[in-house]
Amino acid sequence: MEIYSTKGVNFPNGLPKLMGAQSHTSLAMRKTHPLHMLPEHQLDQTEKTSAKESFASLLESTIQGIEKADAHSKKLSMQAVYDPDSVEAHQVLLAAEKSRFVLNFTKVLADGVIRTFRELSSPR
Amino acid sequence: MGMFDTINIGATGLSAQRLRLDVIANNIANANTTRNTHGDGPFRRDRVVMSPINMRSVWRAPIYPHGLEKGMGRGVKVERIVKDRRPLPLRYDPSHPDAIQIGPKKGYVELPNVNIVEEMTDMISASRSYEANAQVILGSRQMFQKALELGRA
Repeated sequence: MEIYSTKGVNFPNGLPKLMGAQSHTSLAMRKTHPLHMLPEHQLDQTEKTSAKESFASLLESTIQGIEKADAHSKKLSMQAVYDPDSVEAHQVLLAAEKSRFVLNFTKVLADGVIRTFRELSSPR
Repeated sequence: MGMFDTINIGATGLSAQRLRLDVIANNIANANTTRNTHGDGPFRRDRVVMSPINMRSVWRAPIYPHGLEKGMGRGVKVERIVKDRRPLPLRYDPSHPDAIQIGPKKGYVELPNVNIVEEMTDMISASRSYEANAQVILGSRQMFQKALELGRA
C-alpha cells in the first residue's frame, strides 16, 4: 500500500497515515520537493490576485531586492578593504555578481514590459 | 529551488575548502613543532570533518527509512576540526629541550604526526575541489546569462 502526502513533515505523535485513514493525527511525510515533482493537480495552482496590485507589489519587491543586494555587496566590499581577514574573496565577488544579475534581470523585465505596452498602445 | 541556490551551494563549498586549506597550511607550518600550547606534547595534526547542510528530519522510523526525505541539500559545512590521534613518531635526541626525561622513552623526542607528502596531497585535493565549486558557479552564471538573452530577444 502506498503512503504519500505532499505536505511537509508535521508530526506530534502517532503513526503514519494511510491513504483513506481517518485520524486526527497524521505523519505527513515529505516525498516531493516543494518546487518539483508535484502531483499534476497542484502544478497550476496560483494565488488569485488582481493584475494591477500584483504588478505593483512585484515591482516594489523587486526594487527592494535590488537595493538589498546592492547594499550587501557594498558592505562586503568595504569590509574587504578595512578588515580583509573577516571576509572571503569569493563572498565579496559572489555578492557583487548577485547584485549585478538582479539589476540586469530587473532591467530586462522592465524593458519587456515597456516594449509590450508600447506594442499594445501604438495604433496601426 | 531559488534563483541563487546553485551559487549559494557552491559558495559553501568554496568556504569549506578554504578552511580545509587553512588547516593544511597550519599543519605544514607546525610539522616540526615539538611543543604544543599546553606544553604536554608535540603538535598534533588537525583534520577537518565536513557534513552536508540539509533540512533536518523531524522524525525517523526504521520501518520507513525511504519515506522521509530531507529535500535538496544546501551545501557543505565544516562540522568541526579534530586532532589526528595517530601515534607520534619518535626520534632519539637526548640533548633536545623537549626530550622525554623519564620512563622507557627517555632520550626520545616526540614529533608531530604530520606527513608533508600527505599534506601536500590534501592541499592539491582541496585546490581541485575549490576549482570544481568555482566551475559550478560559473556554469550557473552562464545559465543566468542565457535566461537574460531570452528576455532581450
